[in-house]
Amino acid sequence: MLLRLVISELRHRWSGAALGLIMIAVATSTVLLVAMLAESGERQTRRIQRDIGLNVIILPPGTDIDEYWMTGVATGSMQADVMDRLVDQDVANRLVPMLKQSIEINGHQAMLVGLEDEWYRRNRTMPDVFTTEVPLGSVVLGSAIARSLGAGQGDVVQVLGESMNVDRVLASTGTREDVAVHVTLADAQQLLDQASTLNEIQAIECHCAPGETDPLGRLRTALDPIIPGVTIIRREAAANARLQQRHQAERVLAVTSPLALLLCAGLVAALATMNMRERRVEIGLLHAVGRSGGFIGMLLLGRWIPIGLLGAVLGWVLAMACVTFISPGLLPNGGQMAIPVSTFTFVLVLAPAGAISASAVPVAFALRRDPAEVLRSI
Amino acid sequence: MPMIQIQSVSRRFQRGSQVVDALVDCSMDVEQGECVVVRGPSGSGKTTLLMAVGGLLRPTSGSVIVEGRPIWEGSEASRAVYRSNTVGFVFQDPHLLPWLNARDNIAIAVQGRASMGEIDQCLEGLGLGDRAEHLPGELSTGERRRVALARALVNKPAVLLADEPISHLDQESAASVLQILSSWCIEGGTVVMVNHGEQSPPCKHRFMDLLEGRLHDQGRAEAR
Repeated sequence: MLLRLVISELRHRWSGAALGLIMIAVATSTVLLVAMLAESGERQTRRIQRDIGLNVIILPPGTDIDEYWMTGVATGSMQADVMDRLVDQDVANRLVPMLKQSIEINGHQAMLVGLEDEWYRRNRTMPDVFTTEVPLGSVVLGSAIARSLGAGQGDVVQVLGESMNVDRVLASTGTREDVAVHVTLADAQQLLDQASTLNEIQAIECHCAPGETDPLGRLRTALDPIIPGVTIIRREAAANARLQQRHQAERVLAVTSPLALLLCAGLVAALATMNMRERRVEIGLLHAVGRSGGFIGMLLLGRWIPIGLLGAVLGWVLAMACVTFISPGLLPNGGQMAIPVSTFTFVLVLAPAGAISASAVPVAFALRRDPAEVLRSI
Repeated sequence: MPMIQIQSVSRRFQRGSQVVDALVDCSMDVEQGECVVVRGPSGSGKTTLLMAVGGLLRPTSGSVIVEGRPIWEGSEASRAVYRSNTVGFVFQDPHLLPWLNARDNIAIAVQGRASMGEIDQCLEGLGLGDRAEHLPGELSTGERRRVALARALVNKPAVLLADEPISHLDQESAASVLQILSSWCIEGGTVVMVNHGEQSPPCKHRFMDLLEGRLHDQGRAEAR
């Protein structure tokens, strides 16, 4: 009975139902697009942040900073097992343990950099983005040293008396990386005869709260108990740029998503209010013939289920079309937006639920209205 | 015990500083199977009285007892059950839902007791057998009024409340509606009908006049 009444009413007030359908479709596609745009923006942000690079350098206790800046190598050393303790702190993530040493290859000065895969806070797994991947027994050469040695991919070079295969040559970065000879941490420890030793850990500063005034102090407070006397360098420009970029992205997302949702909910609520005004006599009559408030409420809200379901499908298709046609223009640098198919089920549930929620208040008001007042005033 | 007991019922409406006493200390008993015609000019409180008896408008004071139960002392849910099971309401305007055909407009009032067959029987009885599939917009004023009457009667209520059921009807349609009310009453139903004219059902009935919110018993009229 209820279903038949809902369908009959929708057929009778088809123009209102069509308007509702359009609103829900627009609302669904807007929410989807905002969410996808935000996610794409976040991916872009991550890419930009990756390009900014690691921004925290953790050096052994007592390191002479002046000499470190002059040579790029810390004088002291740390035991490699310090990494097991560092993964539990909250201030730095994506820890890259390193052993660095100035060396000479065929009469050319170079920097031997032994490094390991990134270590993640609390042993989470994430794809490596900062580590230069080096196969065991091979080297990855910076552009300048490769040019000096006249070496390219597949060549063999002598490193501290060991013959090592050149896995690849990195593009020029305009930094000390250009004279780096990257090997695995294990190879570096063997070549330098410094088993289980590190002399540098690079990391990414974890998300600081907006308005954080002493991020270096925060790092020191957290790391000093783990490595007493630790020397910490915070690459201010890179760290601040990363922080600002992240806060900016979060601010945009925090404003746009609720705004889009609120706007759509408002539109549906306005439509529901119009529908309630149109149906006030019907509501009064149903009260008068003894229909319960629950039955009338289900009848009034029930119309939003088919409208919501159909609107969700239309909205999803609309969002897909928008993504296909507008995403290349919206996102620079070949960024792409994609709506996962899994969102379809989510939208199918959320759109009718959202429409029902948005119309619940007007329906509640309509149900509370005195039926006698309505039936008498006609 | 009377079927309906209206005891010192008053109803005051207030909008801003304007106060209207629609009903003033009204009392009346209606026996089972009795037909009472409440007469009065427009604005005399006739509809207010019907709505108070029908469980749609709470009196400011006094009580309405139907089948021994004070209807305004229970919850809204209990009044919904009362409206569904005990009373049938015919409004001055038929208030048919424009998107439902005649049959469905009746079915909407059915609370699981009447089948579609009974609804069709009800329509047949009111001379609307061939109009079951028609939308209200496709029916005449008299036919719409009869559908509203069928909706009120379909649950076989103990009490039928009819608010000017023959206003704006031609003589033939009005006579048909009054005949239906009369038959209902003869079969043992209790009818309270309000009207601002002199027309009344052909069965034995009692006139009550409602003037400026006060009820005056005008005595019994025999069946015609």
